[in-house]
Amino acid sequence: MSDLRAALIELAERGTPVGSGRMRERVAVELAGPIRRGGAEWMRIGWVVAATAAAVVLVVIGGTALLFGGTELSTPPPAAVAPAMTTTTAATTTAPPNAAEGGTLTIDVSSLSGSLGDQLAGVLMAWAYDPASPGDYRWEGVGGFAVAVDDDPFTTSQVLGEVDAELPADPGDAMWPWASGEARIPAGDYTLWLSAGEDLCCYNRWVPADGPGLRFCEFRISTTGQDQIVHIADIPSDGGPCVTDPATAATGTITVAVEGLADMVGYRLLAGVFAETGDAPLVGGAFWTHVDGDPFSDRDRVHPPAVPNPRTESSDVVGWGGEDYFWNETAQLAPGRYQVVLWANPGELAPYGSHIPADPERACTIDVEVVAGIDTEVVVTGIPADGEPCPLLAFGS
Amino acid sequence: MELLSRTERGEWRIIDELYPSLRRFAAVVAPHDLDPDDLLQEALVLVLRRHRLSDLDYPGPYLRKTIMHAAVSHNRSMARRWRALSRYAASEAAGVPPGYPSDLTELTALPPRERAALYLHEVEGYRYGEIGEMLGCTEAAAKKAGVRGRRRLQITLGEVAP
Repeated sequence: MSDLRAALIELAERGTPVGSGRMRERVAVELAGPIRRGGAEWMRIGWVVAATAAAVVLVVIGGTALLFGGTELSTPPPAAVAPAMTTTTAATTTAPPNAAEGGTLTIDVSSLSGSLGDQLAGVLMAWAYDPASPGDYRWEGVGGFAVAVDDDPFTTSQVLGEVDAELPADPGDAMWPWASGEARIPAGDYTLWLSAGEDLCCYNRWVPADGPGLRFCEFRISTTGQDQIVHIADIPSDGGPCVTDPATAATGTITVAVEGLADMVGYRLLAGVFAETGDAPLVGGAFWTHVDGDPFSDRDRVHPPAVPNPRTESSDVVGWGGEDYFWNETAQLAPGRYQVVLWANPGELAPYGSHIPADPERACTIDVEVVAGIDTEVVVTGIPADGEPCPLLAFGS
Repeated sequence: MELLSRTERGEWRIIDELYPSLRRFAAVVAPHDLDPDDLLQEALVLVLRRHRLSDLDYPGPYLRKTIMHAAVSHNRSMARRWRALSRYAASEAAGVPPGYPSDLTELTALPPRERAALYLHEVEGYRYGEIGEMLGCTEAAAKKAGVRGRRRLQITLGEVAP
């Protein structure tokens, strides 16, 4: 056993470290979602869309017709419906006379399960400029609620309450500082955090610390300044986006899967989504991965871009481009027709950090229709080298 | 008042400082078919989704614990594949002459916790009380993991009887 230490050191040094800088980039991407550059970048790959558009229409329609016996493939069958993640709708209540003053936000939870006896809390937060903060920006709660979960599944409808300006003397005494009045939420971009668990206390004033059985989810929302409702079904057990009730869904999703990609080890793989016309900019993106196996399989939902977020102005993420922004983790897309483009390039895409390679070695496209409440899945088995339509294994959910 | 400003420069500075040691630790505890940087990335994301590193009293040990849990989680999810790989490794190793280490197979066959305990004690020189804090267990459990790991190796290498 005299070589144990040497063997342990050898084990610890295995592989080639990516370095802390690259690790920061990777962590930032995963925390925030993929990032893209501005419109000029999209123009570089206009040829990809233009050159493949006609072929895609012909081959996709023809190919899918062969696969599915003439079924309208762009609309998955009802039996294959998967729940959308989270949606919002305009409330039936009348908008305030002056929308600039803001509207109420109602959190409609339809089937929270497995949390009987817990506390359910929701906090709407804004990423706001604060000169007094070391980072200049900080999260600030703008409304919230807390309610006891007394049924399973649990249903509730809560209008976000105003924030009490006074800090609680003791965080344990007043974890959720909501006053009795309804919060008026100005038009803007927010993140809603829902937490369910015992004794939701106290990472800080807004967010519970780890506790027994704590569950949480988040949902990004752009408010219009009028009364709105957020429809949520449940909180996933492992964090991530909140789950919603498909019956109230106003949006759908696209899942892009690659299965059995061969001879592509080392390739960087990305997927971008354009509106039906194929015009830039992208309306969504998926994947941010290296092909590390042969054959290689992976899947990801298409994430639409979040509205420009001040987060990029206060972080190192800016290093990816002057017009960076984040994809929306909730993966919701408005109903309509879209075109998915998959790009693959050996090694890194150039320039690194952009979703769009300047000169991708491989690219292919698929036409997809998003239907409210439906997760439309496309399964691609290869990426042609010359911009042909993607070979499809399946189309549906 | 502030919440999870996960991309502040201060946070990145901590990652820069801890990266070399955490990457080595990840390499020790990661399944052999999982890139250590992937495991480290997963752990960092898990932690940063819930905390600011600058708010943690001891971010290094906390991240090691998270890396450890992530590695164990990977092992559980890959259990079936692992069994197949072990069978393959056993058949491949049949013709390999005894000696230590040949290709680190013996070490990577140990459970992550035992590998971690051995590494932190033998290479980084931590006491088992400190190792227990990093691995989320008692000092006795950490010591037991180290001793058990060493004994497993000795058995594998034929230095002691099973």
